[in-house]
Amino acid sequence: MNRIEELEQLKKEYQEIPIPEKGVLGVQMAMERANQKKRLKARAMRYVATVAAAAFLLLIMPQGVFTLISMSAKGGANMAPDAVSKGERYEAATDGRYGNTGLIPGKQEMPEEVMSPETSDNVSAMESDTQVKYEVLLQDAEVRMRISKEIRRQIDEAVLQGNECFTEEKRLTEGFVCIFAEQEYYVNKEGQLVIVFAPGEIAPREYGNVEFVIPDEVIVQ
Amino acid sequence: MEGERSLNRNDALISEVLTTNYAYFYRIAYSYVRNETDAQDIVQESAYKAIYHAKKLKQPEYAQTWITRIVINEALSFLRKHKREVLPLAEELETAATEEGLSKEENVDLKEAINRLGQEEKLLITLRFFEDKKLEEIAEVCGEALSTIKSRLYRTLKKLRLDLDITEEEGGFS
Repeated sequence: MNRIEELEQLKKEYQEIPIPEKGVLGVQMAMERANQKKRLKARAMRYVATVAAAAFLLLIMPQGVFTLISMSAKGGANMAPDAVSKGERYEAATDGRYGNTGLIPGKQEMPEEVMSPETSDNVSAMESDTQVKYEVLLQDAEVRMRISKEIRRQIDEAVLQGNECFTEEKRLTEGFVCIFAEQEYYVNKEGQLVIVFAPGEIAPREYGNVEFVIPDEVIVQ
Repeated sequence: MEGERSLNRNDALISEVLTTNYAYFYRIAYSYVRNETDAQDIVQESAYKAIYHAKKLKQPEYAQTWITRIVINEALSFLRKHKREVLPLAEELETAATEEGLSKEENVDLKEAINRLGQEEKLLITLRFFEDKKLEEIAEVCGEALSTIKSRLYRTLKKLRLDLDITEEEGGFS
C-alpha cells in the first residue's frame, strides 16, 4: 500500500468513527445548563440594578421612594415575563394558540355550590398531582426532546397555514430549537400541558406570548 | 433591544450548528483524545461554553468555525490536564520505532507518522484530508494567515513523505 492509499484508508477510518447515539442529547443538556446560568446571571444583574436604583432614589430623591412603593403596590408594570413562574396557573388573554397578547394570572372560577371544602381539596389535590407529574416529566431530557419535536411540528404546521408569527425568515433567524428543564408552562382545563414562551423568545416580541398545547401521547410514550 | 435580539439569534444559531454538526465536532474531539467518553465530554463542555459566550460570536456565518475552535481548545486543555496519561502512548510509539532501528520519519506507516506529529500539524491533516476543509476555512479555525497554513501544511506533508497538491481547493487526494 502506498502513502496515498494509506491516507485514503485513514480517512475512511476517521469517517467511520462511531458517533454515540445519545451524544446530541448530552450537548442539549449542556446548552440547557449554560442557558440556566445565563438566566440566573441576568436575574442577579436586574436585582443589583433595582437595588442600586432604589438606593439612588433613597439617597438623592426621597420622594421617589413613594412612587416606587406605589408602583409595587399596583402590581408592578414590568413583571410580565418573569411573573410566569413555573407551574403557576394562568389564563390566556385571547383564545389564539399562537400570538396571545398576554397571560393573566388568575384562579379557576368555580360555582359556589361545587366549591365545598371536600371538593375544593380534591380539585387542589388533582391539580397538584398533574403539576407534579409535569414537573417530574420536564426533568427528563428525552421527554423534553419529544416536546421540542412536537413544537417544531406545530410551528411547521402554522407556517403552512400562513401564520405570520413564524415566517420562514423569522424561523431561521429567531428559530426555536429546544425547550429547557425550567421551561414556563401551565396546565389547561383539559389537564394538557401548555408550553409558554415569553414575548420575543421564539417569535417577534409584538406577537406576545406564544403557547403550544402538547398532546398527552407526545409526553407519555 | 437590538442587542438582545442578536443574542437570541446567536443562541439559536449555535444550538442549530451544534446539533446538526454533532458528528463533525465529535470526530474532531475524538481525533485528539481517542476515547468515546472523553470526546463526548469535550463536545459537551464546548457546547456549554459556546452558548454561555454566545455574545462573543460577532459573525454568524463563522459559527461553525468558531465552535470548532472552542472544541479544539477544549481538547488541547484536556490533553494538558491529562498529560501523564497521554504521554506514554507517544513514548511507546517512539520506543517501538527505535527498537526496530528505524529513524523517526522513515519506514513507519502513515498512521504512526501522523501520531508523531505535533497537535497543530495533526489538526491540519485532519481538517484538510479527513474533513475535506478548504485552506481558507482551516486558516479561520487556526486563526492564522492563509500563507502560514499553506507553508505549514507543505512542511507537514514533507515530514509524512506525502506527495500531494495542497493548493487544490476541494478536499481529496491527488
